[in-house]
Amino acid sequence: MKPLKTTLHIWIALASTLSFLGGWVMLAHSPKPIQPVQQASVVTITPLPTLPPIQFFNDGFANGSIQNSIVPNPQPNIQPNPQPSSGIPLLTTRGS
Amino acid sequence: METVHFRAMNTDVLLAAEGHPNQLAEGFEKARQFIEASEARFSRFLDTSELSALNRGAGSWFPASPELFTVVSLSQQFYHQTRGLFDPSILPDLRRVGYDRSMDLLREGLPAPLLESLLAVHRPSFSKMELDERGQRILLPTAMALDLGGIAKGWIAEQAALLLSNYSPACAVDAGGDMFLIGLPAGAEAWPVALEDPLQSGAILTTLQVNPGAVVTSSVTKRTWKQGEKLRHHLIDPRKGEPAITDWLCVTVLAPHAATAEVFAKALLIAGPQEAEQVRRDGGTQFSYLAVDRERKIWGNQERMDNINVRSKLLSV
Repeated sequence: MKPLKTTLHIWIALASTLSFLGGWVMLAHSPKPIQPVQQASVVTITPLPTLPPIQFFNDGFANGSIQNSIVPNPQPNIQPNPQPSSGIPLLTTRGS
Repeated sequence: METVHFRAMNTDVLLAAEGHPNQLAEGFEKARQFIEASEARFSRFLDTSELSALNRGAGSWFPASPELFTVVSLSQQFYHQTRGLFDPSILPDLRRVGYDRSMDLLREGLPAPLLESLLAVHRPSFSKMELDERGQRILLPTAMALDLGGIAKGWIAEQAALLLSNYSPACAVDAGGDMFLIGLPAGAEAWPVALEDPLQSGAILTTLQVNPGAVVTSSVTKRTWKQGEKLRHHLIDPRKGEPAITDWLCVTVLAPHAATAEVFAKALLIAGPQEAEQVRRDGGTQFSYLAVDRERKIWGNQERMDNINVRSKLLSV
């Protein structure tokens, strides 16, 4: 009777441990829940409240300098796709 | 200004240039041939590509073409510069979450089942890759596979623009929004580059006036697909092996080289506002960036905001 009891104890202990570890591994590799958006808590980066026309000017990268100019605009600035002017195609950067 | 449109690298490509029509025709053809040949070399979706051969040969030294060796070397450099936020060895994770075929096909068909995404993939650290500069050979550790999609696209756009510039003083190559600009159009002070709204395809948030160099945007709203009920995107956070959870929807980087812009656009998007400045400082190269959040607010690097009209030295990659 005693060997049976001992075997039973070992079996229960092993099964519990393995189930616990199995659950741990599953949870560790499951996709993480989407976290709420955090913003405006960082002082090192300025959120621009507007969608300004932003100009990046330089004398060309060949001479190793860059200069940019930012003009704040208090109005939302979502525009329809504007027409290119003077034959220059309007290039659009949209992400890939 | 003459333009040519065609499809390559699973995206729309635009070549634009000023100059004599006959010369431009030859320039466009050379640039197009280069892009198509490069796609055949760098695509992970083509079994016949050199990149696929490199991935199949993991575990032994692979003699690489100068082009492949250059891009892989750049990848290794950027891996260290971004402290691993840029990591081309995330390909096994990318496949696991369903991006196992080209985006055109993925949107039509069924991606890998969701259950597969629960099973973690062991992949060796990208830092274990070895390069033999003298012999132009690459050694991927066993079980490593590279996806050079973004960085290769930027590099290809820049090289194609340089080719085109042999026929034109002012030209641009736009590969799905990753672009490289050379010279300035006659009478223009800058190139107009529209920044598309990441939440509304086709709508423009603002138009940037950009001088020659690279403009690259990385986004989590463009290359998306469903895996089971889960919406997935292509930007893998190498620290977790899962699509990144980001505060920003897209990041646009302006830099002297397209590969730099491509890499840091991705790294900043993963890093988000909390770590972006650190990533920029650690990067050891100067660039400007804009980020758009879920409320369509545009963020930018503090230094640029504070030092309007102040010139800064640009470091080359």
